[in-house]
Amino acid sequence: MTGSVQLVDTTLRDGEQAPGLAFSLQTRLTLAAALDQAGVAQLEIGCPAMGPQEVAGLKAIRKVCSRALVSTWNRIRATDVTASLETGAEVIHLCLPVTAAHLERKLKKTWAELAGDLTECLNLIQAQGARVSVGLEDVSRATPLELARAADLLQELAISWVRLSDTVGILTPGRVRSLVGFFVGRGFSVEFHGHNDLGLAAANTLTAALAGAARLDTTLGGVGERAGNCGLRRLVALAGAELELGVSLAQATELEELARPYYQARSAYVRGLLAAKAAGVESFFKIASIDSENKI
Amino acid sequence: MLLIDATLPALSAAGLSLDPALALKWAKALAALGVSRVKRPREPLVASDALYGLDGVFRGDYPSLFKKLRRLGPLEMVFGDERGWATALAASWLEEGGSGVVCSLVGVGGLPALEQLRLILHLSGRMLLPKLGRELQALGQLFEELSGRELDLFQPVLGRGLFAGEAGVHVDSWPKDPTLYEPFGPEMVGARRVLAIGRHSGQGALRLKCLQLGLSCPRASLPSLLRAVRAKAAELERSLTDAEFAELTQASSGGQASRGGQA
Repeated sequence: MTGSVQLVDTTLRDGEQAPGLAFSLQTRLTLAAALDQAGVAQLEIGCPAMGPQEVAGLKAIRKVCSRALVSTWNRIRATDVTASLETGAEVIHLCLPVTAAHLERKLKKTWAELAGDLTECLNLIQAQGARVSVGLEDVSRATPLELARAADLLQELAISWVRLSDTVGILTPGRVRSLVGFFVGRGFSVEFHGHNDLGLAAANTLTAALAGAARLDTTLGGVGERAGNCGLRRLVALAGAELELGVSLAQATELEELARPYYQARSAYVRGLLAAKAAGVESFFKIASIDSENKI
Repeated sequence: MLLIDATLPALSAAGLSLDPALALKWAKALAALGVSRVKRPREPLVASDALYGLDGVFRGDYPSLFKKLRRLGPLEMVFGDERGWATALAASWLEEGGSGVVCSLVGVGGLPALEQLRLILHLSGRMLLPKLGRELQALGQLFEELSGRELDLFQPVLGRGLFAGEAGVHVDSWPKDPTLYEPFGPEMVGARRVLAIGRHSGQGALRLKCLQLGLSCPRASLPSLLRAVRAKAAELERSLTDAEFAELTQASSGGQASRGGQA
């Protein structure tokens, strides 16, 4: 294996979504600058839909990145995209759920409705001259028909950059090879986003590169929800000298050291939460659901 | 025989003196998970006729190699973890119809991780786990006793903190359908969901936390409460404890939030 692929670090977006973890704006600026200087090709810096204060913070983060491409994460909503465009990010990432479960139970939309929303978002992005990547959420549980439907839609809309998100971390290397192969074979530039629920995030991510992925998502220390994401240092170590990722093992180690104190605080916080005697949260799902439906 | 457990010899090889009663409990706990071949503490980690040293094949055409190896008949397969992909290779071996993988809990001794392979076999439908079971959790606890080592809070499959949730989109899915963002339910591994409130919470999560803590919070107060939560979490550089959240809830509702009621 020889060649190079680009790293997309999502510590400031998917990583910080890990329960218990929070960075101040100053810390986010420090981490972004360090990742940028180390040579990480792209930084996914956050979700502008969180509000005007977040947009202001993301603008500041954008400014400390002199080398890396900067991207933001968005739902397929015009309001999200408008907020993202305000940050000055070069890449607007749109998250497109592809499975029936996500469409019916989360978004409560049909595929045709979602395709219409996607077209509206694309028009906004193209008017501003930003680049777009589309992430296929829950792609690892998609049926062959759902995969083909998503590929057809993206090609129809002339979107060539696709992120394959193993949202619940259930892929194995064999399945990664066929999934990446399918999208590469259809002419897409593939980005792979792994989760570590089965302990395979790094191996799956490396497999994605072997199968032709052009970009690989990582976080510092593999931080993320549940068992986390693909760790930057772990991936660099696995890749060895044969695959150029733009960041050396020594740099990856230094970067992860920067984040370590925040992860320790996070662990202490979650330990406290587990030890607390609060009532089980499941008991309130029904009431919360009724509240949400009725806007109580 | 799909999996062969070598946790006990791996711990012995690390110099640990294993309590025989605990070792017996270990074998029984594994049998409950469908792992019938459990190596004894003094047994060699690797059988003399085992195939090992395959950890270098990951970058090559290992599916073809595996196909040839399967023709050799039943073997003990030992994928070393020198390069960090023992579990991935073992998963691929099993996925392609192989068996006889020597593994250990959390990969101790440089072997594939047993609990991860067990979940992979379950998810592939090849060897199902009970839907409601504490067997994996019991195994994790037993391992901690045997090894004197605490498992990582976010260890795949066994971590006690795996089912903490905070991000708006994920917590929002809990009442709708938790499987949207969970590969398996906490009940399968004897864990439980806990709700963190912090910088990435949404209004639905705040509402859920108020219900959980018996705090009343009018819907109209949620946007200002959310802003206050996010600011506080960024200041503390961690999420909020229940006490800190209750304090903010009181302040944002002008002191009207009270325990024991709903808005």
